Amino acid sequence: MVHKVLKTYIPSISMCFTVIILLAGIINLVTEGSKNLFIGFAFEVAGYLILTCILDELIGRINFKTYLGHFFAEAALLYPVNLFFAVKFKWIGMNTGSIILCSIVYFFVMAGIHFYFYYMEKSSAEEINRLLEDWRDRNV
Amino acid sequence: MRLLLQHRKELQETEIEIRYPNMTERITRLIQHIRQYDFILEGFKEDKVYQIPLDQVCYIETIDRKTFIYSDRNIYETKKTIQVMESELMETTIVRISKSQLLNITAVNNVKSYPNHRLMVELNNGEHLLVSRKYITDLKEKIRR
Repeated sequence: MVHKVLKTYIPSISMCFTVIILLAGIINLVTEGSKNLFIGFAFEVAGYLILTCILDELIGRINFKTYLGHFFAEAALLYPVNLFFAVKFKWIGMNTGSIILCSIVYFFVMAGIHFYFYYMEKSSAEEINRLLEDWRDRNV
Repeated sequence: MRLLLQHRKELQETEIEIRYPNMTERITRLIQHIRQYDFILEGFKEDKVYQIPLDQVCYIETIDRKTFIYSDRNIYETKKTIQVMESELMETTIVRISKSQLLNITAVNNVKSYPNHRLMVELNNGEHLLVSRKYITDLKEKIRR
C-alpha cells in the first residue's frame, strides 16, 4: 500500500493539482482578464519548477558516485535560484527571519524529494533482483 | 523428467531431442534456454576469428565507433554495429542498457540503485555496468519474459 501511495497516488495528485491550478489560472486570465494575485503566484511557481527541472537535467549529466553527493551538489546549485525567485517575486519578506525560514523549508523539501527518489529507486532495484531470482529458478 | 545422454562418435554435431507428452511452459522455457546455445557471435582478436556462444557473452559495448564483445575472460571486436546486434539478438537474453551497451542478463549477479535515477549492475565476473534510466523498464521486461 505504501508503495502504491508513493508510486501512484503522490505523482497523480501532484500532476492533477498542477494541471488544475494552471488551467484555472489560464481560464481566469482569458475570461476575467484580471490579474489575480494567486494565479500570478501559480505561474511564477510553474516557471520556477520548469527552470529547476532544466537545471536538474544539466546537473544529472555529472556522474555522481553517491546519493549524498548528488543531493548536496543539486541543493547548493539550486539554492540561489530558489532565493532569487522568492525575493524577486516577493514570496517572502526581505528580512533575515524570512530568508532563514525559506532556506530551511527549501532544504527540507529538497531532502524530501531526494529521499523519495532514493527510496523508489532502491525498491525498483529490489524488484529487479527478485525478478532475476525468479528468472534463474525458471531457466536453470 | 528423465535425462538420457548418449555418446555417439558418428555424429557430426551435438543433437538434442526432447520427447514430451504435452507442451508445457516449462518445456518451452527449456527449449528457449537450449536455443541460446545456438546463437553464435563472430568476433575477432589479434586477427583471428572466434565463434563465441551467446551464453559466454557478458556484454557488448561500442567505443569510438568500434563494437566489442566481452566474455568472462576475453574481449573480441566485431564488425557489426550495436544497433545491428541489438536487432539480431532481440529474441535472446540480450537487452540494451545504455546508448552504447547491450547486456546479457544471464551474466547479471545483482543490481543496485545508483544516483541520478540509474542502476548499477554487478556481473558474475565482478564487473560493474550502469543502466541508464531510459532502459530500466526494458531490462525489467526482458527479465520478466
